[in-house]
Amino acid sequence: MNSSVVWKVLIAIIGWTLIACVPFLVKNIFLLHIFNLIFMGSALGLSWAILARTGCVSFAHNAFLGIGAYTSVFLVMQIGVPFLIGFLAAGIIAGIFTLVIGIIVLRLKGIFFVLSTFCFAQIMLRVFRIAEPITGGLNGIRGIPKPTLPFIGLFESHAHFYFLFFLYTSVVLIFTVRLFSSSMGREFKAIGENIFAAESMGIDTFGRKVTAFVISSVLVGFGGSLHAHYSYFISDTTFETVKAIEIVVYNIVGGVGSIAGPIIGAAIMIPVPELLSGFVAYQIALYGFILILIVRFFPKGIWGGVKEVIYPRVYVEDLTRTKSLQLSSQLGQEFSMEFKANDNNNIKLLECSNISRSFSGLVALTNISFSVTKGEIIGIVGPNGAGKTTLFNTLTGVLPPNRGRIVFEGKEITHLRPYKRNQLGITRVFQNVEGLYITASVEENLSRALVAKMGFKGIKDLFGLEKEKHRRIVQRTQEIMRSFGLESVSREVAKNLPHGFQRLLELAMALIAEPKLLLLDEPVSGMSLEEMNVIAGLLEKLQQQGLTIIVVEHNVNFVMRLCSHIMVLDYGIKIAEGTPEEIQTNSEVIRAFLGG
Amino acid sequence: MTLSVLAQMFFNALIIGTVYALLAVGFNLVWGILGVFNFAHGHFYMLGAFLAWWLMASVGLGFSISFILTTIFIFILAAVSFKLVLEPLQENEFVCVIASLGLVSLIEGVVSAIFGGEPRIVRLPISGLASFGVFVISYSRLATLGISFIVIVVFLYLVYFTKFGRAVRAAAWDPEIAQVQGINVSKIYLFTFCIGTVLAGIGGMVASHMTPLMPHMGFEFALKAFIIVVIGGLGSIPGALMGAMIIAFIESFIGSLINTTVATIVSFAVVLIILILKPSGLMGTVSK
Repeated sequence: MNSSVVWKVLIAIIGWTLIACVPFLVKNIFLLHIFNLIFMGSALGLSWAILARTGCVSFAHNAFLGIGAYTSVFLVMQIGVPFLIGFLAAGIIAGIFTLVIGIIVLRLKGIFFVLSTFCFAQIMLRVFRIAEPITGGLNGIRGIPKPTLPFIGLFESHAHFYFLFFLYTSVVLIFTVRLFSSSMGREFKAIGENIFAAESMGIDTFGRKVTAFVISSVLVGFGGSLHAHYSYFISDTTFETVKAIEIVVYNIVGGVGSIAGPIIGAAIMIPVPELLSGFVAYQIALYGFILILIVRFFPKGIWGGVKEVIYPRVYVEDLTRTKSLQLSSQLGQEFSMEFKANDNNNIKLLECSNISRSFSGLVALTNISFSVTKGEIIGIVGPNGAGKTTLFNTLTGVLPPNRGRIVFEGKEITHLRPYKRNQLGITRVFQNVEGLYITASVEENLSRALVAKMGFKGIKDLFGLEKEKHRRIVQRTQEIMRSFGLESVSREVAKNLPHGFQRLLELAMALIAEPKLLLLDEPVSGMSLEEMNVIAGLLEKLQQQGLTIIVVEHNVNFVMRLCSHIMVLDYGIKIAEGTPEEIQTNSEVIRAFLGG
Repeated sequence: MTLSVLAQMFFNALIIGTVYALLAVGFNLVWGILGVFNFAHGHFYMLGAFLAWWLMASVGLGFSISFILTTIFIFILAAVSFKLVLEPLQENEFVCVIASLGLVSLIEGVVSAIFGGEPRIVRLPISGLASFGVFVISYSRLATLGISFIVIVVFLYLVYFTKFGRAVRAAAWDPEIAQVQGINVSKIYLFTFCIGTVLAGIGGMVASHMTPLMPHMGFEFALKAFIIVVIGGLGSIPGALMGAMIIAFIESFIGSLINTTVATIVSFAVVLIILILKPSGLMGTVSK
């Protein structure tokens, strides 16, 4: 452990202890109450941030808070179970609700997901109002007992609750920190930044989003239980839409995407209105005014703004250097895949029969049949709009075919999701570098691909005990960067790289998945002749290692040099197939390309 | 249940529906064209209602002059809010939502500070009941129906038959190309926002006599506008008109036959189902 880490740990411990000591120094009940609210707000904000990590914004967290609160109160007051059981049940029931609603609505993308969570919360609020036997309806529930914990006793005063909230928030905080640095957390981030890339890299994006949603709401459910037992009274208005908005506001004000964000946001947005509670009308107006000022001048949140001051574009120098870099001809010399192809070549790796795909009436592919033998490089050529990219989309599962069958290594994969196909060994490199995490560094891009390849190893991974795995990820990232000549730009964000390097990076990420079949969509478009030769050399080398490749490309020289077999598409129909020599002399092909 | 009760519910739904249509068309315009999900939309509705009440009841002006003054005031306020708060954040959809929530609190706080929190009742200068055979309806409600209808027709004319409308639709279709074609997109955005917001204000004015006015009622109307737009389809004006009627009929019939809580659950359930099955809405074109 180096000394800066020691210092950080030391500061954290001292800070922690100081915060834990507050109730011994502060006796003012109102002040303690504010502290308790800030703890609660931070924990809720952090829980929300777990889901937001995957790019999903929820306006339903008030509903989960309510579900947790009512579950706990119902069990404690009407069934008579101890507080601890009510508390645990609150999280579990909130999690179950989320699992069900998540499976239904997480298929929606972007704003539609946001709106669906909103609708769900609105429905739940009304359900709270009419589910009288459990929630007390409009009258709410009065006289909620204070919690008792075994071995500790009754939590009665604001100071007692301070410790309870402090504990809860600390646990949520530590859990979130651990989660975000585990493989699963990195997958969440990958999904949030580019779900398309994450899925094609072999991450079960839907499953991960459901997991994030459930984890998030279980934590909020626990919070609901604490909130209810802290208050004397709850009713449906306790969990009004404003609550959901407040949770989002903490994150926005503090800064979305960071751990510190929601805590800073809660620490600002909770005390300010409370301090003005004597003037209700002005309090509301002032809250709005502050909110507008903060988002107007810190659109990335306060922490986001502060970070920009602390780390002002460190890698400017690197960037200017990359502009003058050329792709080296030594590229990929040292690279070898860990995967070793079987010796028995000449077997059918991929077989497509009668694939058709149309887009609401517009036919893009008609009855395409072809097969790919192991170890081959197949070229697909055709004029623009011939259906080449659509064919790739049916192979990778982004757009399943309307009709036809795709068989990979003897297994039917026609309707499998993209991530499953990646796990089986089909990887794709996109046409316009859609497969990159453009705001992440080169190193981060590569190591995310490795994380996706190695998968999440459960609890051990969460607590940072998979040391060996992390060491291998770091080591392998370095190896790959070296062999692809990406070392000098390792810390540059992908979107600042020159185009050739972006393509190379994406290719390297695809190879990390150890594919059996690599799909390349126009790998050398926009490249110079030299760069093209380098890529061609690399692909030949990979073929020798047993990789099978299908390449879509306009550049005839490139295709003729590499491919042993070429397929020509025009208007979604296969018009010719054969060796490069046969294709060059085929009259049908000449007509499609040159007209006449 | 008698025929007259049914007819009464039907007419109520029709009147509420036209008011909702005003509200939702404006919301749709702002959301669909500017990409701004404006939570404060309902608060401009509330503001319209409060200003009309204040000008008529306290200042003592007539309905027409109050109507015109309120419209002008809301137009200016909308322009200021847009220029100062929303436009600079328009790029970041999500931050813009939060900024609009800031506007919600600001407007609500100022209105409660000035007018207080107690419910206000608006009386229009028209009274009396019109009888249509099996049922009766007050002239003031008929006025609501009439004014809303006229405003919607004027608005449709503006969007579909004027040069301004063409520019708005061009900007909605592709802002960059519209810009290249010589359309001042930022000016179009400003006017679109103001017109959309004024429609909400007018809705608030004409409906102000039907329910007691409260400063916090704005949010509820923003939610209504939102569910109507999702049902009808983002960006579709006919969709918003249809969605307004669907929600008004659900509220009027289920609200009278069971209760308003169940009516709200049904409305949101309809929206949720539409979101899941056809996210682009019944008449929308935005794809999933």
